[in-house]
Amino acid sequence: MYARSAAVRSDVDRDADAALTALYSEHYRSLIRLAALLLDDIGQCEEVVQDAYIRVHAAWGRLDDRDKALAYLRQTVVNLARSTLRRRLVALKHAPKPMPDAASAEEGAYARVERDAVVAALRELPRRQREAVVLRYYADMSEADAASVMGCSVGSVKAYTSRGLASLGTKLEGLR
Amino acid sequence: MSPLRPEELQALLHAAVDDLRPAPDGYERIRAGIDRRRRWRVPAYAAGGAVLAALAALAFFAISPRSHTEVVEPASPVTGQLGSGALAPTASRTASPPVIGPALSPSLSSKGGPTGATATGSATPSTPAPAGSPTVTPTRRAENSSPATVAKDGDIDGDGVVDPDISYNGTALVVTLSHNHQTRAVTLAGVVTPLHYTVTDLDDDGRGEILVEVSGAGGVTTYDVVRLQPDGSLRALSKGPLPLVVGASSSSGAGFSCSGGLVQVRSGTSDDGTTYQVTTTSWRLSGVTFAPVGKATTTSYDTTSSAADPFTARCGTL
Repeated sequence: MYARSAAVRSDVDRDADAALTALYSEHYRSLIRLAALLLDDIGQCEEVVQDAYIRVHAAWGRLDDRDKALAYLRQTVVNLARSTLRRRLVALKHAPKPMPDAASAEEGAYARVERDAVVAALRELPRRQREAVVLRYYADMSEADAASVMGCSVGSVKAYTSRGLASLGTKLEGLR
Repeated sequence: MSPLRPEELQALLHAAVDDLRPAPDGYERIRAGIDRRRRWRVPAYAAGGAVLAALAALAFFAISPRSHTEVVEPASPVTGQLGSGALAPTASRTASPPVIGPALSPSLSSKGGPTGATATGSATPSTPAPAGSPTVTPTRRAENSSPATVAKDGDIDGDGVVDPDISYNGTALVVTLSHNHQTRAVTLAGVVTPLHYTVTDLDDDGRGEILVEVSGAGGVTTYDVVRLQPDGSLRALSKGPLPLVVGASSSSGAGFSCSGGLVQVRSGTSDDGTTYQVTTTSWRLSGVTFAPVGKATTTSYDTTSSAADPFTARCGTL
């Protein structure tokens, strides 16, 4: 019994390794870019995406549908990006007050990243609107898929997307 | 101002991040993370299992019954034997606490002296032991300590072990105590030889008293009581109903029994030698004296009936 279960486990591990390699080759770069639209630090984007790969690999034997591995990866990236932002928000809340003439911690963090007007405008959106816009118009996901990743209803995705689009239209007026 | 069209936003988003170049060692980092996770998985599972086992053990000990808190010591071996019969089985001497579990209560009865004495053992549970209670070895007590439980028959010093080595040297009753193997003696006149005695706890103080037959007259048997004092010495008691008398004639009778920490002394008179008016008085031994307890009761005893004969000794193995 033990030998059999060990053999099955070994098969799953081999399968997971092969899938990991394929998923990395095909989607790693696009997932980094997806994370870059949700976060602002490219180093953290890489950490988030790598952590997502490690988690999906560990859960490979429990995946219901392995054809949806990319969807699992995207959802994990979005969830981890949320956690990262939440942690950063808590850290900012408890950071010491800056001197009046010094740059704020938030500005300091943003100063580390390469930014342009689109990314800056995106970061000014509320988190839900930002996620809806990125998933719909960068990851090219359907409203249903985006709703599944965000954990909300399709109607909410529609509303978030509409508001985000309107808000970005105002902010990016100069670029158009 | 025209609204931002979806395809416009798509193009802007792609243009914003398409030039991002991920670090080239991304794959190696992922592989390293997977290996690290694998390495930690087994110790983490083992630690989790150990924690669960510890919790289960703690829960078991927390809910398991605790039957005693006193310190117990192994019983000292009993070296003496009376007659051809062995004393109470070893298991009874080493494994039976006075009150916690069912105690084997051997009672000594000697009619033919030390060589002819017999030892009898009867299983007399004093208190039902709770399920799962541990086996407790007899407690060795100091001579000046105060045992809190009733001694089993045959146990003079209250250590839970029968004290079998009792003899009479012509002038004194000599006892070797089992808990320290020391000999104690008390001068006692008129002791019937061969010895006839029993050891039973008359006052429920945890130490047994010796009821030893002394010379009687007129067809009656009399018993003196000897007890082990807290200072370790033996003392013959004399006051109260002592000596205890057993016997009957056509006009009178006497007997006694002991139970519940009391000694019931019965004396009867008869006009016809058949029906006796029997007066029973209860006595409690306190220290070295007996004191009457309650009122005496009077009953009628007909020798032709099947009622128990009141004019006998029913104490210990008597």
